[in-house]
Amino acid sequence: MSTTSDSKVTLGSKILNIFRTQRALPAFVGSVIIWLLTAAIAGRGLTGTLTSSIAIGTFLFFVGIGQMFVITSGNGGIDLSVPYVMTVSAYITASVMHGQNVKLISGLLAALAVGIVVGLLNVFLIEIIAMPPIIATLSVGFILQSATLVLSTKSSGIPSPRIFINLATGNVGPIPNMAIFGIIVGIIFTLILTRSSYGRAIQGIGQSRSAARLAGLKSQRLTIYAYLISSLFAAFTGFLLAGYAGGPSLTMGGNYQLGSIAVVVLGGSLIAGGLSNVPGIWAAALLLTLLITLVNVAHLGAGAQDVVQGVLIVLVLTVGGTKRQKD
Amino acid sequence: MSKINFWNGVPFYFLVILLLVVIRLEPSAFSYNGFNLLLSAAVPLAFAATAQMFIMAAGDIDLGLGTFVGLVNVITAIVLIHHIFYALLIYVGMIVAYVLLGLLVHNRQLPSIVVTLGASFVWLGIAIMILPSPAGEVPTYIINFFNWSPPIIPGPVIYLILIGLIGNFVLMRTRYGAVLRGSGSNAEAISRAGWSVAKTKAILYGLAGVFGILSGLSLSAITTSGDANNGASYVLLSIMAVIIGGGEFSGGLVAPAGAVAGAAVVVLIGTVLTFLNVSSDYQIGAQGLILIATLAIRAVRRFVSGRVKVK
Repeated sequence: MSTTSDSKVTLGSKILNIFRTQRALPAFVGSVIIWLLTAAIAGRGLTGTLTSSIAIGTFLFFVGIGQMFVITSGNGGIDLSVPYVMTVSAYITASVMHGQNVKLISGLLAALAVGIVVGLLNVFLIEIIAMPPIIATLSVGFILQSATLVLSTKSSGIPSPRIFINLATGNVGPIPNMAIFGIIVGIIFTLILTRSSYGRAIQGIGQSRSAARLAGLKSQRLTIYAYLISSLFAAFTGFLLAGYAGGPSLTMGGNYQLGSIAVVVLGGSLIAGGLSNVPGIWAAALLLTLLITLVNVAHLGAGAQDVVQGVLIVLVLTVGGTKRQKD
Repeated sequence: MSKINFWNGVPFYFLVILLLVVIRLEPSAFSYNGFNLLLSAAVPLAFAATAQMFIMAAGDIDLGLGTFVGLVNVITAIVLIHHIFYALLIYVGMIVAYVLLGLLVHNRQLPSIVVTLGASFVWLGIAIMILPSPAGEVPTYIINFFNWSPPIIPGPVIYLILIGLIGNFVLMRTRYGAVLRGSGSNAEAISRAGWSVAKTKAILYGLAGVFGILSGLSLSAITTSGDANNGASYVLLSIMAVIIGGGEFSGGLVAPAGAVAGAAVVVLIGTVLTFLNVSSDYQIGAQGLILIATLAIRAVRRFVSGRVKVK
């Protein structure tokens, strides 16, 4: 009697332990469930739904990686400027490229320049003026929004260069280019986070600034890089999304503010910082993209999509918690 | 802290200067109707700023306030007009939801930014489900109540003063108000002194919910119909109002009357920009810049005066 119940407990605790140590697992499991559910409701397109969702989810994945570095650095770090950076970058690069194939590289360089400028601005406000990250990045975001509104009247309707659209929406066999690109970038940043000294250090300062300082880490410099990475990813993603959608639009950044934070949380990274993983973000981006497809397939409307996203993030936070791993 | 201090008056000096600028640009504004028009938009924002101030007193920030106000607007225009009882039930439910958010943030030690950002999507989603595109009708008694025109002193001026007095009374003049503020600046000390920090958090969030509802009702009196996106700008504007009013992000340090003055300042800045023919495209950016400038000046002042005198 007692032995069977004991073995049950150990099996249960084993499964629990897997979920506790493999923090990215729930996002993967959730993705699979929603994928199968979507395909069952739609009655078709099992593989098509998956590959296209992976491709579209790549944009969310990229801004999620950037957001993850900021959140990992701890101290209430968060980047709310993401959607505004994306949109302004899309418009600036569109006006730089003017639809010409040869100017694709100039467009890319312009996107990176936007990312660096905004990142430095965020860092200046947070580290020098000591503004809370939320307010600093939100204020910068609103300034960018004004800039975008002004730019959009001058450079609206400029389509992306043909070659760029072809690259962004093309396929290699049955697999979309964006999906492949996303996975490559994901592997690179997994290595950066887990193997590079920067990745280890940024998680270190996220766990304990004082301990990290005693270990000789320069937390200010590490944080500066984190915000730069986030802005660079946001600017690059805006550039890429404009290519994918055929041109920039004012509302293109909309879902990426909560989205970028949601994928970090859903992916099993700690919202308090110090413990993060990249594969979880990838799976969470896929999950949220599939969720949108599911809501569309089930004809639930945009409102239900917002509610589900909002509830999901609060729920995962509640279950996952922040203060963690005391054992 | 409570002594009359030059710096505590800053939002009020700013308010007077802005009023003088407005009157200089548009002399007809200096009249009963002029003040009515100028300040009527400040009333819902003052409610929202007071709501935000309660959350900031707890050491948190509410990023869901804008869509919360939008949802109240939708409920007011769709439900209240036909079913008063159900509408009241929903308002109470929304306040309870805020209390629960506060308890969640406290019990699970979650960052309020992310929780309220998640909640903001829930409010917006529900509002869109109820009302996908702008429609509905706000009951006339709500419109009449907030467009009250007493003799001599314009209604909005009286409402603004009342909001400031209520906020001031709750947080600055009651004994428990000091406990509430204390829980934001030093939760450890408050709980060692025998007060429940969970309770203070729940009360502060609940008060924010109440003032969020009032903000939505007074906004509905201006818009007269429902739109899920009404109030979207209130997230940044309410934070701006609190900060311009002298509040701090560190928790506990708030100025209720200053927040109301801050709300009026924020609205008047918009008016001045409009009078100066600044395109609305630039206005949101200007708001961001003003917030940054306010905090930058404060940082410089702190740097000059040497040491931070907090706690």
